[in-house]
Amino acid sequence: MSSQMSAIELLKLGDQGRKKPFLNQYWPQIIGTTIGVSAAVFINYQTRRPPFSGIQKHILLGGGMSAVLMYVTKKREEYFAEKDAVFRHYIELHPEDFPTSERKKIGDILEPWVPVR
Amino acid sequence: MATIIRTAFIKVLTPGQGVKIAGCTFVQNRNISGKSLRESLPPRPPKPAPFDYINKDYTWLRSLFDRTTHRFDENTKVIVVEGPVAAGKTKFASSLAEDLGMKHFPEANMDLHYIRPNGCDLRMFDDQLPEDTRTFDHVNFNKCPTHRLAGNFQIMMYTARYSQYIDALAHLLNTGQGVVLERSPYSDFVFLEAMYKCGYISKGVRSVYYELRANTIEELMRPHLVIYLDLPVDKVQQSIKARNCPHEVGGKALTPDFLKELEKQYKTKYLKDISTHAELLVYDWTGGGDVEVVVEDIERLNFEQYTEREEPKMKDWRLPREPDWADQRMMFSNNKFFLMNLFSIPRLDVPELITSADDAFAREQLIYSHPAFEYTEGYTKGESGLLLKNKMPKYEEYI
Repeated sequence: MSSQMSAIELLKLGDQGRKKPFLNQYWPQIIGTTIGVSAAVFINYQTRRPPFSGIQKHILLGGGMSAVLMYVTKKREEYFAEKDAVFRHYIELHPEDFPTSERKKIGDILEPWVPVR
Repeated sequence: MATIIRTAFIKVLTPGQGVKIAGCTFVQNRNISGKSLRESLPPRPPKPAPFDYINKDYTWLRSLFDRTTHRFDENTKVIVVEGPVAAGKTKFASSLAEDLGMKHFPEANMDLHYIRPNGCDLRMFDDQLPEDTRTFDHVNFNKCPTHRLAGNFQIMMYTARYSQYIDALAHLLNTGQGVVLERSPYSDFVFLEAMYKCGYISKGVRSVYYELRANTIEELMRPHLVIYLDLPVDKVQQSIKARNCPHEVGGKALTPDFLKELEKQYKTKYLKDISTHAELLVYDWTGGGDVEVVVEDIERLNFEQYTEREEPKMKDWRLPREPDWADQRMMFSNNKFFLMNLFSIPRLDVPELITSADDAFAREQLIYSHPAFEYTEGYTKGESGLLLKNKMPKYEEYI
């Protein structure tokens, strides 16, 4: 479980049973509702109406904004999933292009330091 | 045969509504008819129901199905009753409207500005406001015609008449019912001239007034018929005394000079100008008169005889195509705000028309902090169903 893993192993790792934190999971709904409802309140303020009159407007705007953000998030996740799948498939088809690299110590990588004055 | 081919040709070539030519059918001519004449004739074929223009917009989509001219008949006319002060216009106009089956609009006054849609009268703030921002209506004008706000009062009177005339035209185009008005934006300048002659207002106010008038008046459709109730100046003074309104009898505005200039402007300018477009009936109304006689005279007028394109008579009412009627109707029913915005010409060279920023701010603060004015019309605190209410008033004048 670290740098010694090969590319294909990393790609097949998955989420290892971890749960998304609350904010990561529900940010489209939270932000969407906030923006939508505040937009409706702002419209009411500008047209000199009480903040929450025409509550259907608040519901529609809040729901609409959440739906838009949820759609965007879904599309984003689909995009990354597809990218990983393409990589995985390619590596499976061409394993010879992805040899497991040999483990090296840092000390082996660095050249000896020779002070020159 | 040639006609059929031509018709087909035009129908193919002109897209959309272009083919519909309003008034292309040959209809037997019928003049305006009074109550007794209407009752003696066989009933008319039913008209489409009046369109609810007060609550709804007349949109382009609706204009494809709801034709404006289908509601028109011979009584779909704009009649304006003119005359000097206290000539008996209101009584005459309302009985005329009743006889012709038209809608009567009582004369526009400052209540149109001051009594707000929420029912509150702006005059109630007067005792707390800076002097320049107080209300100034015809009562105040009669008491003190040389007041700083007299010029502003006259311009606001023009605005009120203009606004009322738009409403009258919207009513006519949406219901097909004729309208009877008392005085109009077209004749309002006679008061301005009389006030100028008597020194109540300055030259600057006069120039602003005519600038505003020139910018706005062309948008309206001039009346079909103007009825002038003529009364000599001494009789006008008598009837003012007989009417016995305290502000008129005890006031300083309605001097013989003022009334004379009023009459002169009416007769030499207004009647001369408007008679190029409208039919004109002038009556000597000394000692009153009979509405039925006037109705008989109106019944004899032939409004349909002017058909040439460039003929100035009735020109505003000879729109060639149905979409033109729809355009006018949309303008007056939906876009009143556009017409009223034509008044926003900033003229800073006339000091008596300018309120100082501090005074205006004080006024705004005071009015908007009143609970009845906190929110817009129909959203006052304590009304029921506010949570689900979302409708905005169609047109609302700024305070």
